[in-house]
Amino acid sequence: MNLLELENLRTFLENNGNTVRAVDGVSFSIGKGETFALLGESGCGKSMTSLSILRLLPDAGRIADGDVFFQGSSLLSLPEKGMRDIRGKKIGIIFQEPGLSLNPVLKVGDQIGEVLVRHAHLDRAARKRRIVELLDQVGIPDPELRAGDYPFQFSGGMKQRVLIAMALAAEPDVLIADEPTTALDVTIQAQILDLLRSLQKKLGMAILLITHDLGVVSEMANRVAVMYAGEIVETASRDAFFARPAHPYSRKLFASLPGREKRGEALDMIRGVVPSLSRKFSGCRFAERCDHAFDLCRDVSPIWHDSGGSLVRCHLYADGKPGPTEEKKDVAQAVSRPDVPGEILLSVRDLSVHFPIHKGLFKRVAGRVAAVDGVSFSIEKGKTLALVGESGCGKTTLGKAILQLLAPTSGSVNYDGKEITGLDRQSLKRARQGLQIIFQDPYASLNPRMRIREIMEEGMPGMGSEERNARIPSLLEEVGLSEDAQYRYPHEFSGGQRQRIAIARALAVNPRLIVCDEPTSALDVSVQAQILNLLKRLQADHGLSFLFITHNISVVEYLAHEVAVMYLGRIVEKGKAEDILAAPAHPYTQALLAAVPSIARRTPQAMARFDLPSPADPPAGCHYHLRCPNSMPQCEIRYPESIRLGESHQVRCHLYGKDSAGSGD
Amino acid sequence: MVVILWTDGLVFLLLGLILVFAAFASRRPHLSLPWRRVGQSRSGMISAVILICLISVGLLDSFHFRPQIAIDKGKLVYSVEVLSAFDALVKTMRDHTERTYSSPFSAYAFSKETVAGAGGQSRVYPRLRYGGADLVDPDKERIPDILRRSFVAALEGIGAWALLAGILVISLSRGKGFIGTASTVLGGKTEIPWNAMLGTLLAIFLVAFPAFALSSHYHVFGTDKVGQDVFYLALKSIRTGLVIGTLTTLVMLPFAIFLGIMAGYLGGWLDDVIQYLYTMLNSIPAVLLIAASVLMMQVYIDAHPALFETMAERADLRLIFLCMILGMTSWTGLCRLLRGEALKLREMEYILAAQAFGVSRLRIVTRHILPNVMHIVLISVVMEFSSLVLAEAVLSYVGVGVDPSMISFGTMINSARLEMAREPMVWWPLAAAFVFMFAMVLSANLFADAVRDAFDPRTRVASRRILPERDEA
Amino acid sequence: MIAYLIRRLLYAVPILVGVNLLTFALFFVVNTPDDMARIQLGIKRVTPDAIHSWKVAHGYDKPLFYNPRESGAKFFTDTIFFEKSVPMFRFEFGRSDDGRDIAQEIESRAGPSLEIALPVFVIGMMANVSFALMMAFFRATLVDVWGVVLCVAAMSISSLFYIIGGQFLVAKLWHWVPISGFEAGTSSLKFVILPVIIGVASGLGSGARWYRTIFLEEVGRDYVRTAKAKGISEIRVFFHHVLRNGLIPILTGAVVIIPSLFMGSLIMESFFGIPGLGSYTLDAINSQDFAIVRSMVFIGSVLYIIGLMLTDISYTLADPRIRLQ
Repeated sequence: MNLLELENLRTFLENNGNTVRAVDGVSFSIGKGETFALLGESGCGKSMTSLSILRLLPDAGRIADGDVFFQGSSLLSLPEKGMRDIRGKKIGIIFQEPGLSLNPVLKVGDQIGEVLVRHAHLDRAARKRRIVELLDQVGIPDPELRAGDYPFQFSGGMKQRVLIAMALAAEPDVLIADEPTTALDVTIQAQILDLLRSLQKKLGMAILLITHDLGVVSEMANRVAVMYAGEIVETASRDAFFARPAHPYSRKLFASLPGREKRGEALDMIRGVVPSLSRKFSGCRFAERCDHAFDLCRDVSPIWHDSGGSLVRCHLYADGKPGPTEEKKDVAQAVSRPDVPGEILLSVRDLSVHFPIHKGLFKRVAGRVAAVDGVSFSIEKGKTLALVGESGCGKTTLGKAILQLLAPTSGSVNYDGKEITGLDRQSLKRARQGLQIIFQDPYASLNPRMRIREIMEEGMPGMGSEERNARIPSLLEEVGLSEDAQYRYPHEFSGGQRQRIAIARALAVNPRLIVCDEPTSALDVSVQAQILNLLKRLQADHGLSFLFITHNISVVEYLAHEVAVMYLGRIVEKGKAEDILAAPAHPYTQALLAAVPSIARRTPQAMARFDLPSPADPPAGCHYHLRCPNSMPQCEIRYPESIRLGESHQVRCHLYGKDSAGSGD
Repeated sequence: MVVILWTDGLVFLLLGLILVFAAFASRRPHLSLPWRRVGQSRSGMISAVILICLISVGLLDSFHFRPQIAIDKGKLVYSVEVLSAFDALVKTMRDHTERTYSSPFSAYAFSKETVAGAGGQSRVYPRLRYGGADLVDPDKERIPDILRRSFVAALEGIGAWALLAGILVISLSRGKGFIGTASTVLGGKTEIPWNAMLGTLLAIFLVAFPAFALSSHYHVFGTDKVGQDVFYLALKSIRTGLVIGTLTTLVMLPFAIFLGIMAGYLGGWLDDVIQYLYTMLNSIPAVLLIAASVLMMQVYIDAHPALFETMAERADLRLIFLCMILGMTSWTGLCRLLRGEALKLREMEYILAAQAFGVSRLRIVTRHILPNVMHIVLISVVMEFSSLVLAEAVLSYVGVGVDPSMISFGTMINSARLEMAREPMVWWPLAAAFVFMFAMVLSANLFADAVRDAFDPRTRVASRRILPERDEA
Repeated sequence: MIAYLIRRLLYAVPILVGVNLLTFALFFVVNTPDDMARIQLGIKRVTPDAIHSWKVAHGYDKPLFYNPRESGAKFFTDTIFFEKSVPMFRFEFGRSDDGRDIAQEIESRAGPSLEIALPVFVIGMMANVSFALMMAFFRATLVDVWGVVLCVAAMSISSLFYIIGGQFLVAKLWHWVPISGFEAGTSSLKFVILPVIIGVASGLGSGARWYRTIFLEEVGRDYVRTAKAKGISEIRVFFHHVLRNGLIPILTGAVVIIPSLFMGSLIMESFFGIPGLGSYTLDAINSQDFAIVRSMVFIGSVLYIIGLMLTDISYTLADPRIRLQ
């Protein structure tokens, strides 16, 4: 018998008179002890599905049709009181934002204890023991002590562990994990996924894993369902799915993933955007974005077909047909990459940005946060340097300091032969021309009160109106937007389109170097592919250099020429992308690469332990030694010098100090 | 001779600004979109209709002039009394002053007087000079007379309403049939709740038309101690309330916006100075600060009587000062709010992007920060309005409000509350003041709620229509 | 924490100096000390000698802000401003312009003021929170809708109406309590009860509505969903999770006015004839007694600054996330 079964579930949200059909006829079932992954991009209804199961919908939501069965009995017909016996006891849930999901003013021990009071009738002492046991089980050090702490005293990863402990406190049969690692860094993600796997092995619960990340699915799932626009379009076993995804949408998801093997070619992408769920559909919901769509697709909604391995809702598999034929990669789309050593455009020497900490009676400067601490690197013309690191390592601060949006504490930034630190406003304005930045959040980077035209004109001060009239449409066209976009306001565009506008704005000054601060991390995979392709094409066409700040290793693999790995304000390893990705030298780089969930491998590898320490109080010696598996006594004493491993490959680690012939600069 | 008082000028300036903004916003979707949401709010639009009626009275009362009384040797001589267009419109009400108190709709005075009649002196309730004066036997004829006049006026009101409603439907129909459009409008199937607004208007007309018709033959709300018609006083008070509620914010806005944004965006020592300034002003109890300022100003006015040609000008100047003083004490809250918002916006990526382009600071403030804090300004302006109207009454009661000669809700309450002790009680001046004040403040509050819901992104989510849970508990 | 409080106290000094400067400036911009003397001595038959002796007796015979005849520190210290302000920082208020000891007046009047203001604050707070909780708990039902309607209607009524209406109904029509007046001791209850009820009622509308939005904001947060997912009851989620988080902004926001309760209520005290600081202030305003007004402004500012400090301290007590630096 299936543990959990959804039957034709429909969940609608009322939004200002519109009915959003967030979940529109979803059916699946989960067996005992299995991990079932629900995969889909943002806005496809996967979170609403999970909330519907527990009947925890927001006030505007309602379940319109269908049913949910737990161990054969309907959950939707239970009274609210009966449902409360299911929540926490039979089905536990963890959410995406660990930072917001814990009550900030209650001690974590008490928050876990609440579940025990409700579901496990233990006396006070036993309850206390159990809380400590649970915290210990999810890998929180000093559980007795930590049980008395408040959520704000935990890091993001630790909060997620607390939430897991809470969800598993009453040993439920099913754990719903709703994007459990999306808000976390990749090393922490690896830890949490590992924890979920080991707990599942130990406790034997089933997991409903909701995610947008194919890598996470590959590492965790037994079975997969792909959701698109409120419907499930494909279900398959993990192996069948990764061997041969059947639905055209699933295939596109794979094809749009960046990665090492796709270097030098354009990414495949899905045209258009996810349709609004408040409209009525006829036919296949993916038809308008599908390369293989034919007339039937637009008129008739497909039923389930067996593709040999997976069940799929696609007309191409009707009557045992073989499905879509693989088209040849469009060679013309492929982007060639110039690989000649060029002259240096930007060179950063010993750059530091320190933020003072004020303390005491007169707010004297009591200490400093060395957000960026003596960083040096250079970028050649037409090349991409990827700056990689976990959140909080100082990479965004570095980006801003290069553009002088933040005043550096010391060091130099030399752009095109000119020093740009310490200039007054006017000379800085001149010197900075050609240096631009693109930000992470496409919603925050465009002023909502200005038309696109006005936004772009800000970058063209000296130009006459005729020149602008000619330039703006051509820039918009360059980033793939139509000319009339200039008369519209930012709120009329989707996230990906806004990012294109931000790129067009940056191009307005004819830049030669663009600092890209996580430009795709807020976007879905298919949209990310569009933006990455665009950036690559611009580089080829205009010979642009990029400083690409990111935490996403597959993006690095895809487009970086050189890589610099940053840890707590310092660059610990840098060199050619091929060298570093193939043979990472620093233990941190190794851990970072190993932590990335991969669609190609099942078992994860060695990972970084613990969390990122506070940049205000970094550990003595090598900042990484607390998390490093190869830590030696000298690591605790001295920060290692830079050591040359190859022609351009440098690393700061004591492992290489004695034997290596070359020494640092 | 036309007289433009200071407040008149500012009121029309404000009106002009609003009209210019409306024309400007109507072509910009991001500016007009939230207003469309206000337009969809039922309670918001109902209160808007009431407010528009009140504002019309207030505006009519803001066209001031001095009537010509004689021609003396070829020179025109003007009265020292300043009248308004509204005064001219309700001339009968204004002129019909009795000797002292009389209750609503009464034909007799409130207290007995000694009159010499045919049978010698006697103490009777004398007939009023104007209230019910054309009745022969008030005891018998009064009620039927009132009903008859009300009925006729109500019919006129319905007629006027039907005319307005007809014009509205025709302008909405745009070529579609009149009947069809009328049924969609009345059935409430339009985006803007026209049917609720028309209903409100009908209710107002059904009250206002009879009230005005009766006001020339009776004292609808009675008369006060010196025999003035209370209905007239209440209507005149509307302008004072509106002026205080709007001009005060007009005065304080430049300070609050300028200082708040400077403190938040530029930071540094400027921030410290501005914070010091508003903490200091905040720390003084508001009533004391207002009282001290008003008293000082009164001393000044008393010392320079030559500066004012008419009493109205003097009272008007005091009103302007009161607005300024109220503004000075109330800008701190908005200033702090704007400082916080500017501090947040300063870190926004679009502002960093503008900085990367080398856009000047002035331009960043005017193009990026100012437009993005205007919704906060607007919300606080409409929210402030009703509390200012209420504050006027309290301050006038304390004696530091408007000039005692200026008709306002506060002065009405102040002069009437002493009569509470009389037996039987003189209740009508108080009742009139409270009814009008309540109508004004309530509709302002409801309208402010609608504006806030439409402009504040946070509350918009919370105020969504919420469906009942499947829940038995 | 200690360092923080000391810094706060030091910061209070320039604020209080500024407050004094402002009151002085406001008062003397249009009034001269001669005018004051004339008002205090009565308008008729005031000889220049009488004015001069009044000024000497009351310390108004010096220049206002700076003394051009002196040099060095005395340039600033030998002035009305300095001589009148500095004792205030020692909480010496001197005598009012009509010759009574201000400190003593304040001492005797603070009690009656508190007897009204404190219950109004405490009971009002509880009433507002309970009413807001009820609306938030029954959110989106008729209870909530009508609760909000009532609140908006209640906050649209002038506070004067609450007082006049209350006095009329309770005292005049029903004769339950005296209309106005005050007695010390336990018998004060019958004088105090009506003002307290009216004070609570007049604040209920706006208070309850505001707190309701705070609670509703908390209800929408993610941790509430987590709590519900544990299977605990709606009531426990509400009172254990939502109430605690909602009360933090409510209580800490209210703390700032606690010290100012000493100042009493101007309107209420004058309507009900309570001999408190509110009516004292009002009388001083009407008789233009600068010494009293100045002292009350100073005390008001001091209390406000204490209120700000208490607010910060209460934040650290109520919210574990906040530590003072």
